[in-house]
Amino acid sequence: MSHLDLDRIFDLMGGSGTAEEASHLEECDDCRRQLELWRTRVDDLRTIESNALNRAEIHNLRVLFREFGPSPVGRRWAARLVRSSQPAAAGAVRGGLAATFTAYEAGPYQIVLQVSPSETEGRFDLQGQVAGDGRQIPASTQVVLSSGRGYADRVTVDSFGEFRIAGVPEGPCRLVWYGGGERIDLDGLEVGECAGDDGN
Amino acid sequence: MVTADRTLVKRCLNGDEEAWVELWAHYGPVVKAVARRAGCDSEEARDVLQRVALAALQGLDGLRDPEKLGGWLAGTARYQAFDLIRRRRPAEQLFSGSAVHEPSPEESIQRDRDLVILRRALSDLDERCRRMIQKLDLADPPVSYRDVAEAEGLKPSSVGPIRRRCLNRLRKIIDKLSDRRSGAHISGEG
Repeated sequence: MSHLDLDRIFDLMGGSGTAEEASHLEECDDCRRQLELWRTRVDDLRTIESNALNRAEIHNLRVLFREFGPSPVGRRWAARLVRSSQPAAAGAVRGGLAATFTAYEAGPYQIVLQVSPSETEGRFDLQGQVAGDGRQIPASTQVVLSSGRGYADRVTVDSFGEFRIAGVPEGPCRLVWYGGGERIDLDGLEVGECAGDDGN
Repeated sequence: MVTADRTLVKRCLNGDEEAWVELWAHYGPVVKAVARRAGCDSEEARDVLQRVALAALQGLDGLRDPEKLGGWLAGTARYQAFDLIRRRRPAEQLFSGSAVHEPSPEESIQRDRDLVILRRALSDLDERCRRMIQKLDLADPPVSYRDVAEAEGLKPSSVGPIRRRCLNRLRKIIDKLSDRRSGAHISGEG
């Protein structure tokens, strides 16, 4: 019997084959190698298919790109703190914790953040506003917040430059605002109860 | 084809987020498969994916030949997988003897690169062929010829010949891609 052609190899791989072909395979190293090669290829393809990324993994990779990837147009601003935490207005006080305002400046932009305790214990709500030193804030800009504890969220800034991120876990986090080719990076933020601030 | 990788890298470097997602939708499963094959569990494979993605963000602009992106990602995945396993598990588990034939490092690298080629070859197939192979050869358990015929609007008797044609097309793409294959390097810092 001459060598099995590739179509016969494909059939054998699919489970069909004659007794004559089976006996040829036992004797012919080349055909057996060919069949093994294709079985390995199909197994490998199956492994790849079974490792397809789910939505959460894609989302995490998006956040990674937004945080650390190249900026589309180019200008990045590293923000600096211009005003430390200050007691909030009485109305913002909830429970034993005080909402605090913090302002950051980056180039011609300013981000003001207000942190207040969330309804869930150990979590906080973050409200902020992006101001542009008299200039218009580009429409549909985004804010991405991530923490070392696996928390990540993304929100769209409204037409007044305001945004809100709810349920941020206590601890260090990073907030990045970007839009219109500009980007402000607030690295090393600490979200949590403000020690020594009684909120009055 | 391979030039698609060059375009993809260029788009990523220009800050195109969708290109970044496209890159991982394509190569992410290969990275995880390499990690699994290196001995990672599914949780560790996800960590390897994140590590390789970070390495790509830092090193993408240093890739000398963007057409070798897949090979570079597979190599980085293997390195990160071993690094992760080494940190998390006692050394003796890594080097414990086994009666099963362990592939040599060269064989392992070769198989990782084969994964990259297979991934590319499958995605370069036309839509119908890809569907047919996924259903008839990759699904577990495989879909029956009768069900495939019904879904594709074919006679059951023509499913077998079409499957063979599709596998032949796959073989041609694999051969073509294999001819171009070689290693990739990241230059510069990091």
